[in-house]
Amino acid sequence: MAKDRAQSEDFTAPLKRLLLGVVFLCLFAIFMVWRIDSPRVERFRLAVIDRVVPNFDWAMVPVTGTINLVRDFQSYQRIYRQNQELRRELQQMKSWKEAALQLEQENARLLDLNSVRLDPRLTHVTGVVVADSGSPFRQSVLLNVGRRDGVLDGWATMDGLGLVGRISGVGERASRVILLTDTTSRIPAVIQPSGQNTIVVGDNTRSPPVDFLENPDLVRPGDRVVSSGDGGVFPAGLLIGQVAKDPGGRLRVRLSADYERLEFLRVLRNYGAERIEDTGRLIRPEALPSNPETPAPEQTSEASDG
Amino acid sequence: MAEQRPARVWVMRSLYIGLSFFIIFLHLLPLATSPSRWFAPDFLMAFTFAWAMRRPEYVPAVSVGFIILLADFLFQRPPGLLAGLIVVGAETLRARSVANRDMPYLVEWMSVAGVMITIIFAERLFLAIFFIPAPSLSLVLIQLVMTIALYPLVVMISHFLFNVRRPAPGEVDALGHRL
Repeated sequence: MAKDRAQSEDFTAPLKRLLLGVVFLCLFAIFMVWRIDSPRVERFRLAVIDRVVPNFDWAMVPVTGTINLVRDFQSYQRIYRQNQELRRELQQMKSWKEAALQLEQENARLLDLNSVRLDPRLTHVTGVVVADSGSPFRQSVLLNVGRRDGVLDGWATMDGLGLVGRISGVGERASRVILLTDTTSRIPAVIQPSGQNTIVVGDNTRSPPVDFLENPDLVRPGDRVVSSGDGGVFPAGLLIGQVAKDPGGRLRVRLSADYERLEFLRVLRNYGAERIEDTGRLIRPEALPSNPETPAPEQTSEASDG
Repeated sequence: MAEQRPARVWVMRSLYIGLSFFIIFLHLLPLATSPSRWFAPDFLMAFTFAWAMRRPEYVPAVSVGFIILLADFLFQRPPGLLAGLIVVGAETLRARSVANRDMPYLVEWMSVAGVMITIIFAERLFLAIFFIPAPSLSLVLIQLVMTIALYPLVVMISHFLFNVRRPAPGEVDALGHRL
């Protein structure tokens, strides 16, 4: 049997061996040529790729798409866990969002306090609210500025937007602000654009009513209420709020200041309006035009202009 | 006794080429475009060796050389080097294929693994001799180990799917020669 196989291989075996040798030599020669003349073989490699790969192209796109589809489908298995993680992260994000919102508002308010220019004559000192009244019937806050900072009784305090109240009681390094909502607060105001004088009367509600209106028919909800400066206690023109009508038909002021968050208050330095002391004098020109030479230069200048 | 018709041999030879093209195609799929920490096992080499071990007439040296050379070109390897080494390795296994028929499967696996390891290190040796930058050894070793580990799977696929089995005792080819 072994002899039989040997006989059968007699004439094919050398041929096969020769073929093998040729194949191996060819491959090795290709390798050597590549090593010696790399750019040309690389160009040939590119040509081969150019011929072969586009033939796969018709199948590559759908197969790749299918495999990616399967991969996407596998990712569904992880979706529950992912969902849990996302919920947890969302919870954290919510608290961060809240913090960011608060910081944003605080930042806006501080920026506002920095840049508002009401009256160049008025300067202000900004204090931090350190305490409130602690009683539901008294609406006041404590600021951390006091006599040390030159704060005097009766000065107006604002937050970034509107009037908050007035200083009532100054300590060495603290002062109390009676808010507009306090029952003891009475602020003279004027309603724009009708120009009606009124008094904003605190009544321990969120929106103090306006009182002593001469003609309520001229006032419409939405009108601006600003301080009038009557009595010389308050500077004029500080925004208090907007007129609103409550369900009982009474006109109230919706305060512009954010009473929910009083953190930084600006105390406006106000040393009172100038007093007019003397009586009126006769009004006359300081110097009468006695000499006729004064118009002459005007004429020459006009001539030169012409 | 199943008689080996010559048509079947040619069918299987073209099947080898088609299977190789399919494997090359899978490698070329643009699925992992980012560099990965491992390589897929070299199924081309595993199939070649499995078939050379079991039915040498299905994988003539010419087609092996052609396919691996094509893979060399397509996979940006030094052309001809791995192809030549795999042709030699396949011939080594082909020479053992007659003896392999009576051996347990483990021996076949071991001999194939030995040839693979030899080829990989011979390739690195050649690369070093010709001053060609070689891929990192760890990746190559991972690929080698995976290829060897998956060799039984390749054999099973060949056995059950493509019906490439060891010749039964007394099987003859079309001309009546014993296989």
